[in-house]
Amino acid sequence: MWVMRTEAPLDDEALVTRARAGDLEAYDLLVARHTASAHRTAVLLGAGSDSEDVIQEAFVKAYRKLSRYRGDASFRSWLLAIVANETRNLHRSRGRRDGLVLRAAAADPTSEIVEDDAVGAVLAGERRASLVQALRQLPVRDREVLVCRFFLDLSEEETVAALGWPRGTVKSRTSRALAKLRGLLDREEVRHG
Amino acid sequence: MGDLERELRDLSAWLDTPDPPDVTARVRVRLSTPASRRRRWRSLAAVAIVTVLVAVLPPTRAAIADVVTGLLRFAGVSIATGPAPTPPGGGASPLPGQRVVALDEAQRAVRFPIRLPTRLGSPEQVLVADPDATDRYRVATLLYDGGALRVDAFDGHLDLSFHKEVIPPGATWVQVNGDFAVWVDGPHVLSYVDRAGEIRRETARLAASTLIWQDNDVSYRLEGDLTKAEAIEIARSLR
Repeated sequence: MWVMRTEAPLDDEALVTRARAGDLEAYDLLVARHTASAHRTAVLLGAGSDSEDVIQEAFVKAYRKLSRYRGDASFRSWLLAIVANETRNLHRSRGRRDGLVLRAAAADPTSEIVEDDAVGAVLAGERRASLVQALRQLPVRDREVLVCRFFLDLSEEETVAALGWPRGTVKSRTSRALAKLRGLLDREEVRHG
Repeated sequence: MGDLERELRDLSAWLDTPDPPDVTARVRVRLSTPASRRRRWRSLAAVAIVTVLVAVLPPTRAAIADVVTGLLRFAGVSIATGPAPTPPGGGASPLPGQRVVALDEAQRAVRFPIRLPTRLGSPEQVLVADPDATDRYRVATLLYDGGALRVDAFDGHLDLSFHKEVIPPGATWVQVNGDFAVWVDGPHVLSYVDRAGEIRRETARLAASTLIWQDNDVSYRLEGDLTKAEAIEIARSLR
């Protein structure tokens, strides 16, 4: 019997190995594959209009530091750590962070099935708006850890790598940030009755 | 997973992040052309780099000549080998505007976080140097052993990829935390290139063995009567 073998796309590890040996085409593939999440990370951490420069710099640095990548964490989270670090450098140099921006409800591609009645949609929209509002009021570090854990969907270990904090700090900061967020939302609800 | 955590995950899809740009080509250009010198210099200007000129002294202190035969720029530091420069007298600091401050004051005076090597503990004295118009300093120095051992931290970094091949005699490539660093074994003349690009040779002094490395856009220089292994140990203990 013949078995059709299809060429599997190279995984990150294989590409990293090639890139390390100086194969720039392999690195191109890695850049293309991770541009979207790198960009999202920069935006969500507040790089705003400088996000493009931030990720470009991060990819250049990542290439030069490839020998340091040990493969304990995924290439993605290792790269996102560099993006996070570049974003912090940016904040340091320009002294400003861009906040989170909530997308107009209609633009969300996943919304059609979930929200089919109009009232529900409005309520959910309001809830999201107050959530964003509350997030904006959190201290920077609280917001950073929530961005990593819930928006970028990084594991605890990956967040440790991305923020460069000790594991215990990531853990405690996450729960403290969630508690603060809950408090802010409760206060909001009380105000609106 | 709590409700709030679920809500946050759901919210993720609703956050407005612009479409990702395609940076592949530009990254490729920067990685493959050493000719991107212009860009490099532009980014250097942006980080307000500090440059130190290190001239490695040949065994015999021959006649002075201004010709610099080899040049290596690394981590905000230039290492140049050439005919022996005059060994300067005295222990003058080559750094302009240097003054003694408390550690917390030093931290406020520079734009980067000051990190202490745990192997050395708290410094006996902290100095800052080369202020700009807004009174922000470019260099922070930690002194130990009555000043015989010092760690200079500079705001800024240099790209080493173009210089990997060039290494002047008296200096060797080593690694600190997996990144390239430079080890200069034995005494050499140290001068400072100030903001205006002037080399302050008149205040140059003789430096002991030195390790130069960079981390997080800050360049470090550890100087003292140390072996290479000791210096690397200290460098790795920065917290």
